[in-house]
Amino acid sequence: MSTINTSEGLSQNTLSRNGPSRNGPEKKKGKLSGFLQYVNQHKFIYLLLLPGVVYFVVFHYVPLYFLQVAFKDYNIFLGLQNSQWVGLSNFRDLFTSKFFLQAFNNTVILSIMNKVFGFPAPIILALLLNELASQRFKKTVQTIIYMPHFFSWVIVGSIFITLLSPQGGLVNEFLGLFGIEPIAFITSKKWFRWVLVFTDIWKSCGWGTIIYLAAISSISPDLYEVAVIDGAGRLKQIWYITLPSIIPTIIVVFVLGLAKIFNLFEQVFVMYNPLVASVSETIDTYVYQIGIVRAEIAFATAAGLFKNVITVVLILLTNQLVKKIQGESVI
Amino acid sequence: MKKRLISVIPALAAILTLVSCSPAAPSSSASPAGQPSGSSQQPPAEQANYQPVTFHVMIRGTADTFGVPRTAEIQAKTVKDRWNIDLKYEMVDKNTYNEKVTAKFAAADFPSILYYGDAKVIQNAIDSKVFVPVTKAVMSPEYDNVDRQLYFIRWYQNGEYYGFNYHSGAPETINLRGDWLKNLNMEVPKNPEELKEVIAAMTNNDPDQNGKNDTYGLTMQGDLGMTGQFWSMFLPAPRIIPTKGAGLYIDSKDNTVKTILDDVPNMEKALAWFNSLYQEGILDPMYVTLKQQDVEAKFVSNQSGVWVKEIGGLPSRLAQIQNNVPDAEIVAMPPVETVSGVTNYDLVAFKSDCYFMTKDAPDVERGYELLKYLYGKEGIYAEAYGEEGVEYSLQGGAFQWLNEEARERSNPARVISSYLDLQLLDPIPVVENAFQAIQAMASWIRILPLTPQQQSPTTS
Amino acid sequence: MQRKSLSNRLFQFGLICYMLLLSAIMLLPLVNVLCLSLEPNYIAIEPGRLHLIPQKITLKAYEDIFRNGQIMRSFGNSIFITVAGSLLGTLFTAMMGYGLCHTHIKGIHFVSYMILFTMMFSGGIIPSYILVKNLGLMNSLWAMVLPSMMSAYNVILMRSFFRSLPPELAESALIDGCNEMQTFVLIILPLSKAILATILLFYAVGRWNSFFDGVMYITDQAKKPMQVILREILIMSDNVDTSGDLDVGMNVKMATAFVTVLPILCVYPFLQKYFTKGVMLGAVKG
Repeated sequence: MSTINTSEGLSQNTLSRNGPSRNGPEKKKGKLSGFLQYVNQHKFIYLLLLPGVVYFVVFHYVPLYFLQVAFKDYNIFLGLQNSQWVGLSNFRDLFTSKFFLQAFNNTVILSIMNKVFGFPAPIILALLLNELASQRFKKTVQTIIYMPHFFSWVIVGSIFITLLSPQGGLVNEFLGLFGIEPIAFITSKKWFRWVLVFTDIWKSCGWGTIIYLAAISSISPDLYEVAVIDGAGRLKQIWYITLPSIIPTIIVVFVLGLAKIFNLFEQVFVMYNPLVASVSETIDTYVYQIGIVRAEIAFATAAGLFKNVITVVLILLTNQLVKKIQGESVI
Repeated sequence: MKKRLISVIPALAAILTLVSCSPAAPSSSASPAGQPSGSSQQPPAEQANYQPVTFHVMIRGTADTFGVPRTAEIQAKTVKDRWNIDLKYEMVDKNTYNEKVTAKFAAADFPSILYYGDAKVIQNAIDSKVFVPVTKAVMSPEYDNVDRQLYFIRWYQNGEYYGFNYHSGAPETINLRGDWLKNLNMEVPKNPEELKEVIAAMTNNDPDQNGKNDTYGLTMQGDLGMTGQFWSMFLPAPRIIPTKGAGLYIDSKDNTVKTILDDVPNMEKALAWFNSLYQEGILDPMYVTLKQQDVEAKFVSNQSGVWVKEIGGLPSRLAQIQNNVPDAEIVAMPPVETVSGVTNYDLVAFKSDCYFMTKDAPDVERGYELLKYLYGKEGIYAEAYGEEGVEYSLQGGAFQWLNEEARERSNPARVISSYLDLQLLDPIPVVENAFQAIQAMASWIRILPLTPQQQSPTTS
Repeated sequence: MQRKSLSNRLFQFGLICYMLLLSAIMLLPLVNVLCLSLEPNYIAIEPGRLHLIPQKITLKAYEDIFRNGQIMRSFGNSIFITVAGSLLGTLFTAMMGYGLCHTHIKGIHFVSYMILFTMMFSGGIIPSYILVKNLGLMNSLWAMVLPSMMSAYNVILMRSFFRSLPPELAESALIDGCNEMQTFVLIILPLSKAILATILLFYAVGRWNSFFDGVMYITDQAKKPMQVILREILIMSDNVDTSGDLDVGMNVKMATAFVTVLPILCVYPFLQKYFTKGVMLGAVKG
């Protein structure tokens, strides 16, 4: 009696084995025993979850008590308990500080640019890699393109600053071959955001293909055989088989990626300079700069909380959207 | 916030003092100084009376943290023998140092002794009695020749000294490529106008004589760090970085504290000077993208001719340059008298970075001894040279290295930087030259009377 | 079977060219790092040009690293942390990911939200430090394994993967008489090799690269992981004598970067085979 048409296939299976819930005389024993009975019935699943839940509660939820520091005038030697409540004044300080609005704008704009240009890149690359006929070549390329992910921005950033320099940097030398004047990418307000976005793609797209390649590898080859028999060319195969099969993965990665979308510190910090700060100062770098002057901890926490709240809203909204389109939410 | 600022001002006021009778603040390596004590003059070990005790010393990991490899070992052995102290160093990488200290403070997990520099937090620690006074250590006889009011004044409050300083009078100087000056037939500049001429010549006249137009006289950091010395040539106070800090100074006319940021005429002069460098193309136009290590890299690889650096950092850079250019020289520019009669070179001693002892130190009396040892003559020599007979020998009065690795890793910076007037065992010409160049500084450090509550227990 | 038409071959050719170009670009940092690590410092430090081929080769930087007595022990520490951390992490993540599929069971949906929440909110380093101290983990290798053992991101990825498996698998197993545990271990897991390998790789890389945790939680030199020791070597390298905040020997810095990346470069090809096609072949039919 399994009803296995939804994508909650597995879950329906186990349900099918359990009979209808009992009622009658046992109802008197009350909710507690009913509860225990339920737990016992499904104990395998609950046990599976137990270590993870314990872990998250201990190491992720317990420390959240400290977030109240955003609402306090934190004195590190008096401790959290003894520091005074100041309500929203840390937030007010933050929002009314001189360059906050600019930092916020930059953060939003850079995040959008990163998503629009940076998100499709590993997907396309994974699809292309999948098309390579030679498996050995494909493996070699795979092994190479994920390397930039491992080098920190401190190293990668300085490589790019050298590459993009208007005084002898390779990119400008290359442009010079076509008679184009040297462009000062790193110090130009016009170009700098694009520099950030494209260097980020360069650094992370190789690593990003891993999850998509894993998903593609799970597609049954039967589907392709059928398509070939039906006369579908390469492009059609990608469009009708490969892509749809990895859409669930794409959506999950997209929504999960929203959680860290506003975290823009290291890359910007390493590569920016006073000439382009007005277009690239993000909330994180801004808080870092003024942390020198202000009370760091409470202030930084307030800024972090602000970002987090926006992120939560964003994810929940996106999740609802996904639910409408796909019929199933990511959460 | 206001509370903090006000408490800082009297300290700063006290900073600009020099008691006239004490010797010149920057220690010259040519002045007579004691040799490192090979045999300790400590009283015979009273170890029998000391219970073993563990001191956790937390220090910031930079390249000059430990010199010769056996430093920690030598120091640990000495303090164990003398005071039965188990010395546990915790060295934390400089980039993460402040975060770890913050976390430890928040968790009330205090080391016995630590090095710290964040003035707000230090003040808070003193007020909360987390940092304990080290007055007894500072007032001990070994330091009678040291100008306490100069070197320890930063954390002198309510009659007690809190910070055990290790900085000195060796300032950060404006340094130039001496060999380039020779090639250009120019003298060491003595004022901003001459400096500009030198910079122009270094940019335009191929000072390294390699036939290529690939040098700039001056390059600097994009965030204007390490440029205070230039600004100070025009403005009334040292340590000016307009984008950071308040540039406070004391106006001698009415003895009030002012900020140079309000001194519009002089600021305009400073800006005009910089601007003219930029307009004439003798200041590296890419400076705005440079970080501190980039500026150093350019100097060391013959792309720029002027570099600001603490004297102790010069020897190794010179060695780097000499790999390529054996005749390379570095010379320091003499200090310039500012409009308020103070030198454009700041004394590093005024930084808030110090060693502090916390209330969790197991035994304060031995803590004082430990501080005096580690950051006094013996500890510093142990760090710079190691142990006599093992890493080096002084047979017949001539210094000689016995251990190659020790020689490579040796770091004379602390010897140079120490206010204890220590002599380099292994004389270094570039350092001697630099100290000669800054001789004039002493007379240009403002003298102001201390207000009564700032007077230290013994005033000379 | 595909006909090797002209358009196919052209496409392959174009694709291969493109991939070669891409690989060359991606190799740039590795080549640069390797080159800089082999140059003497006064050359390595020269700004303004890309160092791709060393003008002069010296192994000094690597000597500096490996003559340090602590390096091998820290390597062992890192291996332990990486293996323990990634195995435990993958195990519990898989368990949780599978458990979270059963959304019809009470409480499961709630736990999903709970996990997601942790991705977005964090208390910061201070409460974590206090927690580690109170748990008695301070200065123990487990402090590098437990606090960062699982990541909500990976759990959700894992769950999505399990959800995408055809329900017939579990169903046929149950019909054949397996209980839930056997279904999970004997049927589901073997078919999930791709995702398990992926998640294992993610955790392993995370543990191997962890530096900040090491600085915060470990004080004994003997227990420090390799990243921390490398950084200390870097700081204390004799090439450039600094004071204050400056950076140090460029060649040693690059050598430490290379030494860090090398084990990953070696291990990755072995895990690669789990990402290839054909894993699912025969699973349902057979």
